[in-house]
Amino acid sequence: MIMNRFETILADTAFARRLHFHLRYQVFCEEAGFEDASRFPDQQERDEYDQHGVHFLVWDRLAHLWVGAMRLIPANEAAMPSEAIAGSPFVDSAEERRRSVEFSRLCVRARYGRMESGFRIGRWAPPGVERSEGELVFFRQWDHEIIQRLIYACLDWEMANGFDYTYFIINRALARMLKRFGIPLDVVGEPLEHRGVRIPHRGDVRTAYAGMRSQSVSFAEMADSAPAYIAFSELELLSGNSVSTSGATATVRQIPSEIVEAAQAQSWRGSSRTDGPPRRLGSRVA
Amino acid sequence: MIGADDMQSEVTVSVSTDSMSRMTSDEVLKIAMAFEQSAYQFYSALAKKLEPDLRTLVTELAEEELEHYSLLEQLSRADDLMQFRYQAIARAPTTERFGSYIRLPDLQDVKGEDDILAYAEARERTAHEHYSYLAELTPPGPLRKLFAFLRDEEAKHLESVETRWAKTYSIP
Repeated sequence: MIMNRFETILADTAFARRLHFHLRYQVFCEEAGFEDASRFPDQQERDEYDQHGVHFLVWDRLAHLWVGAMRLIPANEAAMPSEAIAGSPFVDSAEERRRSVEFSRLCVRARYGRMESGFRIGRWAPPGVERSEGELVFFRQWDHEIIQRLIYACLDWEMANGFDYTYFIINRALARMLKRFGIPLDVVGEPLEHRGVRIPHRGDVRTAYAGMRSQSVSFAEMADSAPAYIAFSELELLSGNSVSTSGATATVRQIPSEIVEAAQAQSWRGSSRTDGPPRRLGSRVA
Repeated sequence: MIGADDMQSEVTVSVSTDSMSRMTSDEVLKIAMAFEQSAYQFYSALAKKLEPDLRTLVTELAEEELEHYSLLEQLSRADDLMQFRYQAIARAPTTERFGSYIRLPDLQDVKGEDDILAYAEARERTAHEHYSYLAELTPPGPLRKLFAFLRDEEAKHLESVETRWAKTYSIP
């Protein structure tokens, strides 16, 4: 059997957002050292903008780990964090602001840096079966998959929710990579110092999607093989209800028991209902 | 302190492909030094070729490789290891792959930071695996301690490259 190694999850419950903030803590505080860990004694790296944000996670089915994350901040709901860093707005008109989103807090676990297309063999078991007793499966992965998946989720979410522009402050290395993926970028501000030299950029959502489909073989295959993301609330992870026994959903539901136990011990469970801005399930973009 | 000027201009160590042969610790260290030297030379040549904002990364990597070379050079001359220089030890199955990194890759293949970091990561991963084998295959004693030390050093280098990747391709 062949299955995709990674799955993007929309963190649309309080519990899922705790997982998202904890992953950010692991990467930005512990691995990269961008943030001071002592500021986050609960190991949840977050700021005042997160209450307006839409959060995503990437799950590794092979290793059973959360390995990547990013957030989107709609500009019409709050000033974009990067504008606050720059000290001036990037968006002039109110109309464009209503159609703009900031893409930030992009992070990938250190050991998942360069991902190359190919297959990894591992065990997969349906819910209720020990992984060691599961069947051998080929897990498919693509070049730079975690970053490309998070961009895919961003573009899909923006198109579905009526947004046209993505803003981000990125270093030259990431700008080079995004251009290689096929994303045309406009520079919209002067270079600024924020954990290194970063430059404000803007991308057009539909042009970026078309560019990636035509220029990145990995992205096209990925987009053709799976939805951009699945909402965490749809998994009914903590309710114990069986949502689906189909391959994709069933494997995502196999969150390691230690995460669930830690969540319960720290009262992470929270509400299972969807809160925050209205969100929709990921869908394949036509 | 050993510097770049102390290196040979060309790396000339040859690696036998005979998987049954044994090696002396002296040979192992010579290959290891050539491994670090070739990395230094590769990154240094690359720094001259790349556009300015890519140079910082490869210059830092070149400096790190020079430090590794210096460390190995000092270890190879350590008094407590000299008496074991010609002790035969089992050949690690990674020897040929490790030695293949002495050949410099094509500079044309490098297009961005991720290519550079992927190359650096592959090197450090191979080195870590190589010293892990040597630490297991060598009988207890100073040589085994040396290889265990080098294995742990390479683990740190690998972690450093991985962290660098995560920092480079993130948006904090």
